[in-house]
Amino acid sequence: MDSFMVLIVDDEKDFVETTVNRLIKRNIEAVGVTSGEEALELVKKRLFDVVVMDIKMPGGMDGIETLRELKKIRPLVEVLLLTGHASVETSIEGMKLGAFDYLLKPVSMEELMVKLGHAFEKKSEHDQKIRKAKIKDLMRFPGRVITQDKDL
Amino acid sequence: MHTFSVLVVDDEKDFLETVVKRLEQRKINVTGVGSGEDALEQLKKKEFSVIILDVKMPGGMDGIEALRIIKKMQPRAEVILLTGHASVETSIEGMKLGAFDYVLKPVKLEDLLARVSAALKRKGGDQNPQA
Repeated sequence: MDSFMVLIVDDEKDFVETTVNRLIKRNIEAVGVTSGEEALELVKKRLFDVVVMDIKMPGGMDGIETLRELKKIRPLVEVLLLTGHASVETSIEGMKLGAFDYLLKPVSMEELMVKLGHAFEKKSEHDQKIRKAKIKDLMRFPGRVITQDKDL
Repeated sequence: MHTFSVLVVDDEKDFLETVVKRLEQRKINVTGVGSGEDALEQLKKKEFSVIILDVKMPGGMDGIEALRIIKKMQPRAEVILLTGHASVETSIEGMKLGAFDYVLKPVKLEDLLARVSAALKRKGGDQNPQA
């Protein structure tokens, strides 16, 4: 199986730690940060498949703002939003901005795993489509690869 | 079931008319325009489920530029790129920017319609379709 990289973004430090640990126990590579700003810094440096992000992060960038920026930097990353009952509408706003889905807090691990699975499936299908398109294109002119190599 | 609408953007008038007609025959709500600029006008007015976009449109805004703006204005819309052999790389670039798929020109209508169905299916498969 492809390796699966998840970023958890939540201002509740305990939640981030617990979730990261639980994901690692299930052999999913997970990293956690506690603000939108840190999340954006990290996605610039590393490739994640799915970002799980709290919508409400008082003090700094909120989830929606972070989502907007994140989609600009990494349009193919799938985003799962975490939301309280009071902010479901904001989540729906987030989905219109390209988030994959949302989860109500408190989040059960089971539910998180199911939605992570769906998000990863969608992401890997798309990555595969891109790979296939590249191979098909290269195979039309096999010589082109060699020519490009000579240039190096 | 909620209705979906499709926007077709291509500077080749004949092709545009044929695709629009074929989609209409399948009872799909479809709008056709001949340039990226016209497409953006449509996006301001209405939400689309699927956008079929030619990557090469001489003269005005090119397809990748249009794609970037589409993804900003309507991130949930699935975009299918139409491309010639010479511009497959551009389409691959487009898929990295979030386009759903690409179809090679000359387009077989069946191929295109299959891609449209796949795109609609993916949208329907979203976990919270009420959004």
